[in-house]
Amino acid sequence: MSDEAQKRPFLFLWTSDPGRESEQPDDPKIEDWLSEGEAAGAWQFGDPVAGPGEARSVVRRGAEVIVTDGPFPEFKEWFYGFDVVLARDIDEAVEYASKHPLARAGRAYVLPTVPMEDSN
Amino acid sequence: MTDTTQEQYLLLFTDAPDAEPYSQEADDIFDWLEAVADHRIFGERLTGREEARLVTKRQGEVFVTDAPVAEFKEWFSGFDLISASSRDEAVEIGSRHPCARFGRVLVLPLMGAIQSNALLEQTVHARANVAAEPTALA
Repeated sequence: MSDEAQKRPFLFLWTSDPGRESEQPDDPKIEDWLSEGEAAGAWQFGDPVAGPGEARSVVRRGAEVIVTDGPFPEFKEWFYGFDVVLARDIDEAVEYASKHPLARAGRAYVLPTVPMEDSN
Repeated sequence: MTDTTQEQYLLLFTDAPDAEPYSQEADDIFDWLEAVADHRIFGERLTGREEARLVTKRQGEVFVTDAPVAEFKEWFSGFDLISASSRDEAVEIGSRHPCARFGRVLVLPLMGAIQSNALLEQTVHARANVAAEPTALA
């Protein structure tokens, strides 16, 4: 098995952060971060997320579906976007996330995935 | 086949304090996967909080926090990237996911800014072949 095949997906969730700093001129550009990740076989896809007023929260309780319009008071910060990245382990994923300009101008949750076939 | 002329949404599944307790017998995830196959682009379950990291960079220094507490009290259990013709349809798709009962579903509209639909389609197909043809991702 090749090295590449042993990588697994990680979800990066980018959010605002009260301690965020403004971007600096020497910060990496998002385009460079993406192309570096694509060249390394790490970055798969990602997208900015719309503002909290555009989001919906959905639950089913008994037979009832309850839909709540955003913004949600429990979210003081909001999502900037997400990326799906392949990495060998959490450290490799963290290292790649730390190079994104939003590591400074926000924060990253780096979330490992569980393959569906392993979780049954 | 996914219709990429449609809008894209991120369904983010979280725990919820008032949710139905999880039961494997009541987990109809495979029915959902079959029912929404035309809408679902990609999705995975997420590990518990303990394996996650919070990453920030402040004054040039990288800070990594193990087992971070989410910005809100609950934690993320999984996600799906779907296409839908409207937000109402995305909400309807999310409402049928078992996590709507065992937790909560956040329906997040995407901006379509970074990833062109054509490229997304290409990477999703490449991803489906990752085990067989790993170089297809490069």
